[in-house]
Order: sequence, then C-alpha cells, then structure tokens
Amino acid sequence: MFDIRIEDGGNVVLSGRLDAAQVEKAHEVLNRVTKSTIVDFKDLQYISSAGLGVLLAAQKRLSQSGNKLKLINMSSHIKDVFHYARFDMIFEIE
Amino acid sequence: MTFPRSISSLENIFTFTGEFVQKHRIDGKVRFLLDLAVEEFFTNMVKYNASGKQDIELLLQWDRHQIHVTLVDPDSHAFDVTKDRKIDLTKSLTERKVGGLGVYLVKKLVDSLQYDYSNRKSSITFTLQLE
Repeated sequence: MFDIRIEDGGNVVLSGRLDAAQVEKAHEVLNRVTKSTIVDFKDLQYISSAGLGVLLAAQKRLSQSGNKLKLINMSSHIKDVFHYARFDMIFEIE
Repeated sequence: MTFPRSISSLENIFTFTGEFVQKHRIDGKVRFLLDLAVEEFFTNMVKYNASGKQDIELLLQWDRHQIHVTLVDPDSHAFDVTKDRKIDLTKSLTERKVGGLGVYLVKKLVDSLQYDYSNRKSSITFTLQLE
C-alpha cells in the first residue's frame, strides 16, 4: 500500500511502499508541486529505482524555476539506496 | 511460484516474499534488499521482454546463513545482468537518468549474482547473507 498526500502546510508526505506499480500515483501528486517543498519519508518503508525516477523528474522540473525538493526522515535502508545511487548529490537530505 | 509478465504482478510478488520473510523471521535490511532485488530484476524482464508469452518464475530458498533467490524467464533473449554497463552517477541533475540504475544498485547490494542462459531461458540467481 502506497500513499502520497500534500499537507495543509505544503509538505508532501509519503507512506507505505513506492514500487514500480505506484509511480503514476506519485507522479500525479508531485506534478502539483510548483515551489521548493519538503518531502517527508517518515512513513515510507520501501522505494525502488522506479520511485527514484519519479523524484528525479520532479527535482529536474522544479530546478528549472529555481526550486527544489528537500527530503527528510528517511529510514537507514532508504538512505543507503540514495547513497549508492548518488542521489544524495542531487537532493538535500536531512 | 509463477507470476504474469506485468508490473501489476508486483503486489502478489511482495505478498509472496512477505510470507517467506515472515516464515523465516527475516527482517530489517535483508527484507528490504530482497524486495528491491526481486522488483528490479522482475521489472527488467517485463520491460525488455514484453512480448514473452510465459509467466516468470520466482524461487525463494532459505538456509541458516543466507537466502537464495532465482528468477526464471522461460522465453527470452539473453541479457547478462552481471555484465558491467556504463552508468555515470556523477552527472549533474539535468543530465541524470535512471535507466540502468536499478540493476546497478542491486549489483552493489546483493552478496552474489549469477546469470545463466540456454534454450531461450534466462535465469538470474542472487544470494543475501542473513544478519
């Protein structure tokens, strides 16, 4: 089960498992983001390269207008994936 | 267990791996890596051999020290996942792509990886050491 929502304050919150079957859902919500935004991974248990691809596409689009995503509260397993993919060079991770 | 050649099979695949890890009390990093490696190899088989007619087989085996995982595509072209393919992780944001990233990641994270091909049958086997 995967869920993505935009909170009242504008933060994007991910939960569950972001696999290749869920990327359309993630893409649809991230496409609504138009300014620099925090993405909260606190309740995200799993991500694959398909999920990385959706985040990369959003970061590329936002960078064109000088904006960016900041990723927070990653689990150690997910942080490892970002590290090995060198996505920690592309995203600010806190 | 066999699964139809479709991304929508992932839900049933993860139910299968979930039952396996629960039965053998596997948790934490190994559980995460099992799902990641199975997804990356399975989706590769779906994407690059979409015209294949037969289901893809997934075998999970456990011993005290490691788990052995095999994915079998019974009707495929050869695609040796153990071969090094160029992927530049140092490119800038605008130049970065994710093509090939999944298999690259899995090769970094599993403990062994083997590919066999004969009579149009591709078999990928990997192991993960238990914590």
